[in-house]
Amino acid sequence: MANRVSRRQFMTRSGLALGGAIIAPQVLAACGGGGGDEAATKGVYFENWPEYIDTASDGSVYGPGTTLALFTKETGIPIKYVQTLNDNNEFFAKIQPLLSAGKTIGPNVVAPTYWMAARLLDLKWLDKLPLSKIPNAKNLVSGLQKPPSDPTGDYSLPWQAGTTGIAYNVKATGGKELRSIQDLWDPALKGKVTVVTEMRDTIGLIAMSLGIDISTANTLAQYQPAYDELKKQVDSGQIKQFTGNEYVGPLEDGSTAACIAWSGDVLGMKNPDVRYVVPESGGTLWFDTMTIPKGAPNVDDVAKWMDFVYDPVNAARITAAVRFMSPVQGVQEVLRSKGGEDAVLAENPLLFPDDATKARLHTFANLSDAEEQKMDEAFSKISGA
Amino acid sequence: MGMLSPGVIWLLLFFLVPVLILVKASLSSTPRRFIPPTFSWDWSNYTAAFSQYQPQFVRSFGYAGTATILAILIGYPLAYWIATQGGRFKNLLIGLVVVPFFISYLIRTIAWTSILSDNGPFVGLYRLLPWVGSDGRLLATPWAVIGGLTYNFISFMILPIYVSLEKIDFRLTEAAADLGSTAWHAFRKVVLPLSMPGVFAGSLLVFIPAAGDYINTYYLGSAKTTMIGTVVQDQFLKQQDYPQAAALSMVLMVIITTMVLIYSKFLGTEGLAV
Amino acid sequence: MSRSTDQDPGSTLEDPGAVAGGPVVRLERVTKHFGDFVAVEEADFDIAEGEFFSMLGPSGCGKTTTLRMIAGFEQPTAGRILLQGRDVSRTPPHKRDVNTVFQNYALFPHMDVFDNVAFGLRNRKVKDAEVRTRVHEMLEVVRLPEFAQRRPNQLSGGQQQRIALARALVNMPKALLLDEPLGALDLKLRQVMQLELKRIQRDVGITFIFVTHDQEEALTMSDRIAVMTQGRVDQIGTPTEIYGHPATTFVAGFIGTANLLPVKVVSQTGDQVTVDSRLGNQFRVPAGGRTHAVGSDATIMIRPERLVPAGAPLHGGEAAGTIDCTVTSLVFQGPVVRCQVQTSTGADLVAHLGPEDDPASLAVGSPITMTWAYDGAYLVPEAIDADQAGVTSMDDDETAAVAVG
Repeated sequence: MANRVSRRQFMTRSGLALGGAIIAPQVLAACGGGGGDEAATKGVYFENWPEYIDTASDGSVYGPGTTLALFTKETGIPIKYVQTLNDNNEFFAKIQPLLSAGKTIGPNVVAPTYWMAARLLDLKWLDKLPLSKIPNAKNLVSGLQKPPSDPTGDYSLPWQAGTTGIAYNVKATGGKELRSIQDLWDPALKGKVTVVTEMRDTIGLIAMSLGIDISTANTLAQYQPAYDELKKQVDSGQIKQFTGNEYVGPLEDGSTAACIAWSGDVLGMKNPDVRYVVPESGGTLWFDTMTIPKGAPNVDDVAKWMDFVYDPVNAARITAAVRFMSPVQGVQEVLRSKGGEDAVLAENPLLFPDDATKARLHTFANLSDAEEQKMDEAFSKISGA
Repeated sequence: MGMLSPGVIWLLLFFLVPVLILVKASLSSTPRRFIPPTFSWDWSNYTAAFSQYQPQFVRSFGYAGTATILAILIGYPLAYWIATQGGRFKNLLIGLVVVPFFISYLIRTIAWTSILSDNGPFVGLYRLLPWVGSDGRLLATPWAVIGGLTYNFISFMILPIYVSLEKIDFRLTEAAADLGSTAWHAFRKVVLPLSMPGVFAGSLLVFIPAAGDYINTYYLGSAKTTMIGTVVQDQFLKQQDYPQAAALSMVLMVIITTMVLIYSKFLGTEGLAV
Repeated sequence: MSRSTDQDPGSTLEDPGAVAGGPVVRLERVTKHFGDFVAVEEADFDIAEGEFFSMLGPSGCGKTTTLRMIAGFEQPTAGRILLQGRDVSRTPPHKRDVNTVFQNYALFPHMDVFDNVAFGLRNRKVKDAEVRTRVHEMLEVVRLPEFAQRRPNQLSGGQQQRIALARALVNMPKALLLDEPLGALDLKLRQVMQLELKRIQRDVGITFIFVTHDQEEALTMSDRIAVMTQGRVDQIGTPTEIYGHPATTFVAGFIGTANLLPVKVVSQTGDQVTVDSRLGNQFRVPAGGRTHAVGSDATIMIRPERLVPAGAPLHGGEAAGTIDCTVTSLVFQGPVVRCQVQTSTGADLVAHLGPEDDPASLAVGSPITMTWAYDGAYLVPEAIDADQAGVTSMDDDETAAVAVG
């Protein structure tokens, strides 16, 4: 498991690699075929991120004992599972022409990140979940119920979650433990700090350090102090680079002393000098969702699937494999009861943060199109694009 | 006509149609983000291209130009050495030039981030230079970006120069020596002019992709070294502002075409075709 | 074996190559090795001022290597090369006062004719006005004055040849080196250029050192010829000497067509040698100024135009021997009939018969006795094996006619 590519890692790398190839999204989508017919008669068709579910020993997601196999065995519903979601924006570019033209896409469950789910919801490209047929939805952890991205909680159920905080190499900081965003601006760390290219994570953390409540603030004007701070730190050279997952290497070798980082990446690092903390002023909580694209067939089958993975026993199996925070209540207990390596995982604070840490985690407010555009553009300006 | 038609069809399909799509997109506008743009003779994308992204344009051409010159300075002697001294190892040596390029462009570039890392071997040596302080660094500087561009595209310089040198009859340098030329003079008056088509082709093959590149500055540069490709990528994929991205691409294309025309005028490749 | 004209009786004949003044080029025991391969072995000769000197031999004989050593492109492994008395063995080409016309012309393709011809003058910092005058003068000499602005690829092979010549000659070198310069031209053009080269050499008065594998070309143009094989110089002499008095069987065979028969020296009286033909009779042969050891193996050479049927008129005295043969083929070739005969030992001989030899009376398959005048044969002091006996070239070549003229 140590060498596995985390889901975020995959996202950033392939996003960049494929980015150059995407010139005419319409053309690409046209190549994707009419869609819809494959899952039309019966069953679930789930498009998810790579390496985001448990596999059998041969690496197959359908192998004996896997969640997918058990689901079909238990319910008799066939499920098709593809790992083609590499990048939220790329995914959006792919489905935009179809959904905007009132057509359906192939899968009947997709896994956009919460803010992309919010965008899809805003564009009215999602169908309501049949929550009455998903009794296990009650197991959803309290912190993720009715999030800003889905205020009624009717359109999405979280798949997996993670936090964004500060990671630092204690050797490179000269033995200093970091606790806040202000610690990143220490002149001693000049040129050894990186931030991430995800606007909501970087701006969100800085905004919280300036006392802005990110779960309610939803205009560029409200976030302006955070942008000013970021620009100041970029211009002065305090911040070295904007990165995707590539901060991992430099952080481990110490050429980056501290950075804004994703918990999942830090969980994968072996170096004991690398530490992760949710800043005192607050960290962001992100999550990928399960949503039903507009007009998708077999909604009842989808409901069975969602109900299945919201059973803590099944959810625990997935958590043990992918090592992200589970949105399902009771997973920690299931893991503890299994003993061995799973029991060790159950005590990992990056997977199961304590209540004090949980209290500091916030999810970014829902942004209107116009504000999101303004904030994206302002962020790009500072990062040089 | 009949003979021309495959070529004409090819041009239409793979050149004219994409360019027209790009032109159309660049003159489109959208009332709202995430709604497919509609054609509207909207020139504002072009004014924005010039007013907002000058630094990125300047950096793109500055970095690409410097990388091209470096590629000539490094690639020419190497190609010359292989062409004249390679003997029976010529093909092997040219193969070795190409081999690194079988590896993904992205992976090669990322590899340079650890080579140029502040804790890496190069920076240690670099800091020994008298004008470099102990906090000197290579990664996240313009020179790292230029170095990355040079490295990533240098084989496109070496190969055409090698081909043009290969075609030269080196008895011509004997003829020049016979007529009183020193080795250097013979090179300057005979070999260099005859290899100019290779230098010209190589310069285009390096400069054009380098000017539009965004991978090198993403990994090896910083927020202060971003190039126009960064903006295009951001506009296309992040902002989903296809009209703006298309307009930037058009401007980039027109500027590059103009520069290439001026360059070919200066280098006057006509008559060199032997 | 003789390597020097001095020992050769031919040098006492009228020799247009023997002009006044010291040698322009002197090779002193020049040897060149490429690894284990001996390209040139102890070449040792002088080339006089104003001389048209040819190095002739089959490919790989070392003639081009010798030329390249004179030009400076190769350095001798041993020995010295002197240019007007100065040792230039280690002098780079650009500092030697010789110029070369290359086999492929090596014109600079990116320059026009004027710039090509002016190249050497400009290297020597000659003033522009003078460059212009001299280039145009030289283009007049090679008769292409109106071609100054053309590019080499707009010229025909012959024209490129002339420009290459002009480019070298305009520098007025001490010697002009020509490396198979006519090799790429077709036969007609080659013949025209041969005459042109002679004319130009007369006009400019510069020493020409000419490398060729074409013996006709060498015989036509040269004052003296050095015949080379396997890195060695077999013989140096005027075309007449080389043709009439070959020093080795190789020279005999390489220059024109020769009928060779192995003989044994029986006795020598003054300049007349009696040899045993190994066909049951004896021949009388001129000694060629040499002393031939009695009992030694030697080779008798008879040119096809000197071999006639017995009874036909002999030019130059009485018959010096007879060979009984059978006619094997008769080919009418215009001025001559090429008559091939076979000796009793199976050696093929060729005779070129004129009308006075009455070839019409001959028939294939009929016996014939061949004979020749005393001075029509030449004794080469070198043995050959029985299977090498006979005519050296079965090809029907037109060169003999040229050589006689």
